Amino acid sequence: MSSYQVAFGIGISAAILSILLYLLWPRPKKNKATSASPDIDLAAIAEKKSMEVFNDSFREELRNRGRLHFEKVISENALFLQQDLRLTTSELNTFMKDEIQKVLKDEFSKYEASITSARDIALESIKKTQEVIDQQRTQLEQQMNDQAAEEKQRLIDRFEKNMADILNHYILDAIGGEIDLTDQLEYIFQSLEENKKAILEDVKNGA
Amino acid sequence: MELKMPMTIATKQDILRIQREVRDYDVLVVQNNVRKTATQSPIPLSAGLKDLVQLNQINLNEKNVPKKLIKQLEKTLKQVILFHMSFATEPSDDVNQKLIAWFRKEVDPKILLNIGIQPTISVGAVLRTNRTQYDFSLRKHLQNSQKDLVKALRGE
Repeated sequence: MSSYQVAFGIGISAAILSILLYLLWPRPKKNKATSASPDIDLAAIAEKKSMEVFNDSFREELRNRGRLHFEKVISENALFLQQDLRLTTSELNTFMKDEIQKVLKDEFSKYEASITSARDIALESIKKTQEVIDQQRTQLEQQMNDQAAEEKQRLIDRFEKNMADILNHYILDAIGGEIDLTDQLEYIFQSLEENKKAILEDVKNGA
Repeated sequence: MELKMPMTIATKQDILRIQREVRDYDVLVVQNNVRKTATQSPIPLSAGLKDLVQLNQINLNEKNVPKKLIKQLEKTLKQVILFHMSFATEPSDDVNQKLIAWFRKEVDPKILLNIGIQPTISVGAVLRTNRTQYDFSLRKHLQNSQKDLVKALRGE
């Protein structure tokens, strides 16, 4: 039973009780001595008789009964109301619990989705960063390898280019003035013989 | 008549020194002739002048011969062919004479040789005419052999 039904029952009971109280409540006596009509007398007699039937004790009895009935109705309705309230409270609790659970579930779902999305974005970002780092590392490695190879080649080229000077320098350091020119004469004369034609040409052309 | 140069006269400075010596000799001869009473001791000659007069059969004691010789030397100085040769160290006289002998025999008798020192020439020599420079040094030899050296380094 819902709370509306309980309220409606209480209302009906209150209305019935009000009617009974109106009917049973004692009314003030009218002076009918001046009436000459027999109908009026009859009415007065009926009223008198009814007053005799509905005397104070009877009225009190009715009043007690009404009170008891009212109390019974009130008690029953209170019981109904209590049960209904308990039921309503229980349903309300269940409803609230369900609603809260639903809301929480929704919120958790949203939160989870948000977390998942954020995690995906973070993972994507990390992945991209990792890719960029890998790419840069590869480029840097390649660049360093190229530079190292270039430097190595440059050193080799320089060494090869200046090899004669380097060897000459080391030989010069090693032998210094140890070799007498007399020992070199053979080599010098050989060189002169090899270039004799050119030297003669120089002299011929006005050396 | 052209003067024949002995091997002891190898450089332009040698000719200039001999020219100066002949001039001094001429002055001394004149002085000796003036001092007829003075002791005529033989005037000492340098090796170069001695070789020169022997080779060209010149008697310096004859009248006007020293003056003629000076003129001839001046003329020779204008005609000489001057080569410059550098070595790592100062060459000995023997080496100088051998070199000048080769040049005068194989190239031209009028060749004179100026000697220079160039320490960067470890082994060999550098010859410079007024047209060309001939590098007979070890460095040049190594430079010419660079390809072979590189091949040897690479183990080819």
